[in-house]
Amino acid sequence: MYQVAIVEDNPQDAEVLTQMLKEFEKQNQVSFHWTFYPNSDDFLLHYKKEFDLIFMDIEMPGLNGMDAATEMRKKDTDVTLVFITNMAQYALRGYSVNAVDYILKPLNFYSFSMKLKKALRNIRHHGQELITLKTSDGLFRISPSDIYYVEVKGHYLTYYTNRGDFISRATMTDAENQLPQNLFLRCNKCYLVNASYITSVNSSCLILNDTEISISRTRKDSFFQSYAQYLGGTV
Amino acid sequence: MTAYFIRMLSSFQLYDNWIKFPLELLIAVVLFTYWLPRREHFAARISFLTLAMFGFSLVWNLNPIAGFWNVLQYLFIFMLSIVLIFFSYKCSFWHAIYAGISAYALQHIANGFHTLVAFYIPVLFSGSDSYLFLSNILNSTIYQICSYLCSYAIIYTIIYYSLAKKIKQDGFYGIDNKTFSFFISILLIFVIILNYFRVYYNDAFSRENIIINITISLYSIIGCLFALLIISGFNQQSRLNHSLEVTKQLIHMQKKQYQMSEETINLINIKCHDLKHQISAVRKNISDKDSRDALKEVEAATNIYDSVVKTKNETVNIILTEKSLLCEQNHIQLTCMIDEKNLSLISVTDLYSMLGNILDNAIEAVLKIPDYNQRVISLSISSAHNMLLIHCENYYQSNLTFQDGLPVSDKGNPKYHGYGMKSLKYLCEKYHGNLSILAEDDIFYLDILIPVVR
Repeated sequence: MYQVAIVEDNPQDAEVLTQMLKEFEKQNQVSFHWTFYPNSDDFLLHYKKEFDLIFMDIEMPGLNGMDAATEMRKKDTDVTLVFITNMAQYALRGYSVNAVDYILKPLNFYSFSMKLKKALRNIRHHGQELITLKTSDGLFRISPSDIYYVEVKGHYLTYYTNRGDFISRATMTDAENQLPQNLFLRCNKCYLVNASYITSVNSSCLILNDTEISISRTRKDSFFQSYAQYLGGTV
Repeated sequence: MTAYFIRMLSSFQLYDNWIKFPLELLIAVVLFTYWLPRREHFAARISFLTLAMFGFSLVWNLNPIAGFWNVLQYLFIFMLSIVLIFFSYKCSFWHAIYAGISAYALQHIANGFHTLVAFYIPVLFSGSDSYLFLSNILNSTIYQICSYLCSYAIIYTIIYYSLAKKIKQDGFYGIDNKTFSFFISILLIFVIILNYFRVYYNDAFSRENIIINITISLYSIIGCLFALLIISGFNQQSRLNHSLEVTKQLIHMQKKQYQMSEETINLINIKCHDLKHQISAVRKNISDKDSRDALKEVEAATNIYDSVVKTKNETVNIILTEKSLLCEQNHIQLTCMIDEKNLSLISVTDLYSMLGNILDNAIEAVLKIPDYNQRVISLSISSAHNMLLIHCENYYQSNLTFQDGLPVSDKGNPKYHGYGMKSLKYLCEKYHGNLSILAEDDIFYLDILIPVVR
């Protein structure tokens, strides 16, 4: 269930947007819960970090969407933002407020659907739950964003994290299932890396926290595919 | 002469002597040439030359030359087959030669294989007791016919699927090194001569001679196989060279296009600017409201380029301006999110070429969709974690075919399929980056990742 905010002054446009969200839910087996704001003042007034996704109309009376987004970003850097606009120009500045994309009016479902998919890929990066690691010293709960990378040696996995290293008797497949898939990428048989800690990449290896990890030839294509998706999602 | 004919007709000698070799060679030729474009009066030409081959074989074997020089008939029939290819199909003479050599090599491998498997090897592995028993089988008609048809069918099929089909799919690009071509021909002539020793000099079924014959057969099979592989390998090489040349040419052409584009757009912008001022001046002097409104519309029209996206990167502006006008004309919705921060990494012409190719691909794909609503392209350029990411997604409808991991376009000259993509891949690699492509649920995703090196 995704929490969605719709900031749109024109009620007909808001209605169209709602219809499209419902259609998208049906076609893609997801569900949304949406809240309307007829103008940006109402939206900003009681803003809480409770939304996964915001649809923001740019052309609104009073504070326009772009400025509203700038204000919102001061309070929330994580939420995924999609602009709705009549004109293409404004969207170019979209990256300065970390917008994922923009949708042109009049809204059409195909365009909406394609961009919403992109937005959803972005959302899945955030809001991570704690995972549990079973080590010989006991159980530890840790957030995936604290894990740098995971290495497999024989029957044991070593989790390298910002709280130290943990060794757990498990398989790489267990780790892959446990950790968010778009954040953790398998670059070769023995390593699962957290994409947000990668500092540089070239065609044969990557550098993560001063450690060099090689990218195997067989996994090269899928690794770059996933990494590109990750990068596309975070901006 | 009549008596000779009657004797021949009553045995397989008829087939063996004048039909077997030309027929086998002709079938091999077909396998290596059937897809080629045909010359006019193809049926007449090929029938005439086929009859010529059989006729030659007949005439020669009516009065066969004694001894060694009899093998020359194979050489002549082989040359006739090359003439047949060149005169029946639209191809270069070198292509006819290579096809002819390939066909001859194929026929020879099949021949060697057949004799080895059907005759020499079974006899070699039998003691003298079973020799008599075996020779009855070996001489029986059914066995002869079956083993003949089966061994040829096997070899022709294997070689067709492994080599001939590739040449059909890739096209014939010629073999650059004429020295190698010369050596292949020598090799084949040598093979013909070797076989004389197998066929003519021995009492084929004595034990020592069998071993010699098996050896000779094996050598000639290997020699012919080599020739085929060399031809195939060199063709591949030539294809790749051709590919690289075309890619480079494309990039060069796009450079010219970029310059023209830049000039054109600047020119138009200047003109529009002047026009705007003039219209403004005129408008001030008109009091009639309708006329003023009309003029306002005209003024709006001169904003033709102003209304389009403007970033801090001139190259991006030019290519986006060009493509967005094209999109508007074709009811394509193009949206762009551009952070031009690290774009200076890429040279102006390379960037123009890359973005041009990416957008051309996307435009070509959405143009095939009849529903205007589905003609949506989304381009974004961003930087994160020391990587420059160029991401483009668009709807597509037709079936995508892939070659060498890249999708192939189906417009234009078949020999120039998919060069936009090849040029993209080439440019990515130039900047030590990576190109990924994914097609899923009617949406095509293209990602280019380039490391930011300072």
